[in-house]
Amino acid sequence: MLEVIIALATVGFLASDNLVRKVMCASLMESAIILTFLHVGHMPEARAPILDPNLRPPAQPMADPLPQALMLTAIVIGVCFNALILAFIARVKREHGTLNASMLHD
Amino acid sequence: MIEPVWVRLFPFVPVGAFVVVLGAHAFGWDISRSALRVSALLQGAIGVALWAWLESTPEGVQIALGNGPGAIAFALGPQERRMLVAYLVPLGAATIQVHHWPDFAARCAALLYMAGCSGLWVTHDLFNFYVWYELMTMAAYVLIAARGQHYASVKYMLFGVVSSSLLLGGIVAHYATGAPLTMAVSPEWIQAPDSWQRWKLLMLGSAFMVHSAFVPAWTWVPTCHAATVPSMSAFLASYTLMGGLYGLHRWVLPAARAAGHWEVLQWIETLAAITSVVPAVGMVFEREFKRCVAASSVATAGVAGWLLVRGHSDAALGVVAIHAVGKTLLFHSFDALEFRERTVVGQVAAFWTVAVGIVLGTGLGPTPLGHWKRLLIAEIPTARLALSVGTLCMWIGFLKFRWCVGGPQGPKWLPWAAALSLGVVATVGITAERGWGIVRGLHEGAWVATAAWLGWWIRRTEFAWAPVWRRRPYPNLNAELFGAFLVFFVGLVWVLGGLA
Repeated sequence: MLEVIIALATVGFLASDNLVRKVMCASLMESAIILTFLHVGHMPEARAPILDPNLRPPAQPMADPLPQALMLTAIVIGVCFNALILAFIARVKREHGTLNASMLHD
Repeated sequence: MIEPVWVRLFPFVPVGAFVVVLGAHAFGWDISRSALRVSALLQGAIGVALWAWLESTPEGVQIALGNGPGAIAFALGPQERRMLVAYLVPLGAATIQVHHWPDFAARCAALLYMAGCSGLWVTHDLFNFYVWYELMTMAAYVLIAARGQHYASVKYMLFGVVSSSLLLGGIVAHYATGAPLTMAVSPEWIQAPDSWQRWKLLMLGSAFMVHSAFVPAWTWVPTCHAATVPSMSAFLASYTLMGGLYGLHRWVLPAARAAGHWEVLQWIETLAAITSVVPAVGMVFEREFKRCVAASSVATAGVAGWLLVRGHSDAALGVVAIHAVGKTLLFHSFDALEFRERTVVGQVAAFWTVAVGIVLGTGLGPTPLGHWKRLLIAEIPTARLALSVGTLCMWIGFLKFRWCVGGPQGPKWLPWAAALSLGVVATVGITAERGWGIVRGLHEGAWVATAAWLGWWIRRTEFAWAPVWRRRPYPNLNAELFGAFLVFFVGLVWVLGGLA
């Protein structure tokens, strides 16, 4: 399913003429990659990765915190990116009078 | 000799300066200009000491930032010194030209950009590589838009989002192999399933090639160079563009070699070879001088990528360092030049600086870049044709402009910068074996004379060339963005489809 979302987002990014739609497709693409990472790192039956020195190590395995840490970072970066590009796209609209990528060139 | 503790400070100096600037801003003081200068000077001092330290530590070093087995670490090897030059040279020039970043926001973004650049260089693991990489590019987007040319920044951002999505995908595939993120090559990586290995190499390879502006994903570079201030252009050409090559060097090529994925190397080599020629040919038809300089940077990235794939990583990173010196001289000469319709006007001193920049950047004569190009020619017979055409077109691209003495006086430090740069080049390239005799000198002189004549002829017959002059390689932004995906699609067929 995630592969289908990535493929659709890629097609949308390439085929869409509107810059805002392109950004939305890029965002979807990144979200699908983030979900893929969480899916790959998912360990059923695993407990939360919190170390407590007072407790003996339980039999249950501990989940790997890396995918969560990295994906949280990626989400934050994605939010910043979207805010910045949307602000710039608004300026482009004011300067060039269009958001149509097939009409924009140097 | 420097203690390892100072290495830890290297990327955090600009971060600290940024925090101090924001704190002072809360009280109504603008200390961003001084903070930028102090931060650059401190980084410069640490950088020079690091260079000396790495010289005496051939095995490299790894420094943990905290205690415990999972602590984030920095890792540096002797080869990384070349990347240090590529960072410090434009940094030094930008410190002198702080007025290029006229407002407070741009100076704050410059501090974050410096942090991203230096973090990318010292980081040990792929996770932090991604974080510093994003910090660097995010600040670069702001700096490119600093002069109000938002279209250039949006274009770079769209290419950037393709690159960072692919990088993230590559990290997922690397994680899925079960290999630690701290090493490109590990026993887990070698034993990982073949399909995950291919996906990782394909995604990371595409991400870094889009970032290094390999053809056909290269058109954002001229747009961004033409839009931004000279200091940022120098950084962009010297370090940000080459950061992609550094990613290939760190994360893709060793992993591909260790797992025996030669098709990945062939894919990257093919694109690198094309990149060393196509932008140079584009320079012949380019009307704007700044876009010409940008195209020559892309062509040089192709040469460096080609050397990297052939296993000459010392030479490739050397190309990156020398190119940084040449491009910094060229871009910072812009203050002393005036551009009219296909005419460059300036004083003789500025022209000398530009000439040094062009000679260093194109690898003419007994320069280290020329020597490294000849390394490829000696190894691959077809490289002679590609590199000769590339170099000739670069020279035509520069010599087709009419160079007139006059115009603005420009900063007095430029000729001194050229002299200092030659000293840096001598230091970096001193190990390169020369073998540049009278015959080779005459041969290369004949090439320059041919380029000069062809440039003159193009200038004379410019009306006949008018339709070509006006034509851009891609009709619009949509077509340009397709180029970024084309890098990936070609790899998809080549690496996954077993074309090789």
